[in-house]
Amino acid sequence: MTDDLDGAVLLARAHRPADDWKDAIHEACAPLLDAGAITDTYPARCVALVEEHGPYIVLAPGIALAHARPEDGVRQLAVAVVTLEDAVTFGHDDNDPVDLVFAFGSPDADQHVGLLSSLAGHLLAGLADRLRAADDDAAIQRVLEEVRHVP
Amino acid sequence: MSERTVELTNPSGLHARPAKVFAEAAAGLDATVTVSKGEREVNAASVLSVLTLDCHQGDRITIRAEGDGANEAVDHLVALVDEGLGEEPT
Repeated sequence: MTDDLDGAVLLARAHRPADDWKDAIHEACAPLLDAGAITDTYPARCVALVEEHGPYIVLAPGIALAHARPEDGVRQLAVAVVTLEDAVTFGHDDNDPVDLVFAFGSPDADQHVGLLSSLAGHLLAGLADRLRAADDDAAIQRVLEEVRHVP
Repeated sequence: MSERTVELTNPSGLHARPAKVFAEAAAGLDATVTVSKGEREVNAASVLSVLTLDCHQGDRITIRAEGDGANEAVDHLVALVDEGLGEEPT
């Protein structure tokens, strides 16, 4: 499990602009696209899942976790996160507005053993506020790296 | 107190939308509900807590409830899991 997390692609960017929730999902996916961890079809599939099923990806106040399926274009186990300059609304009853958007991708259904679980555990332990407090890309990247260590 | 162990038959297990369906259902019940896999037991009404369990298709989870509505709560959640948590069972 530790080996999986060591090899995972983790990328974070601070204070990104986004016009709306779809734009925010594309912003969150952008670092993974740049790194080649996902293909260019993946961000649109992340948006489409929310259009089909509603804003279930908004997990907690201010926090969304965009994802699609392995077959939608994932090359490597990866998580990216962006903080937004201006929060966006997803239409969630309780957890809007959202200012922290994760993008998650796993190349097969079983390989996210560990990474997603670790991310959720860190979010329960206050990771979101530490990410929000990071002023630049280097600082937010250091915070996200905590996710490699299972809480 | 009431508890049952059930196998996850839906493709995503307790991830993605099924995790949200499960946690919201647990939050709306007249009981305090936990879910466990192996040694770990978490608040069933929190989607983040449920995600920490990393439950996949084929995993067995134990649903435990306390309170006046404990029996009904467990019955309701077990039925939801058996129905595939909003996904087509495979």
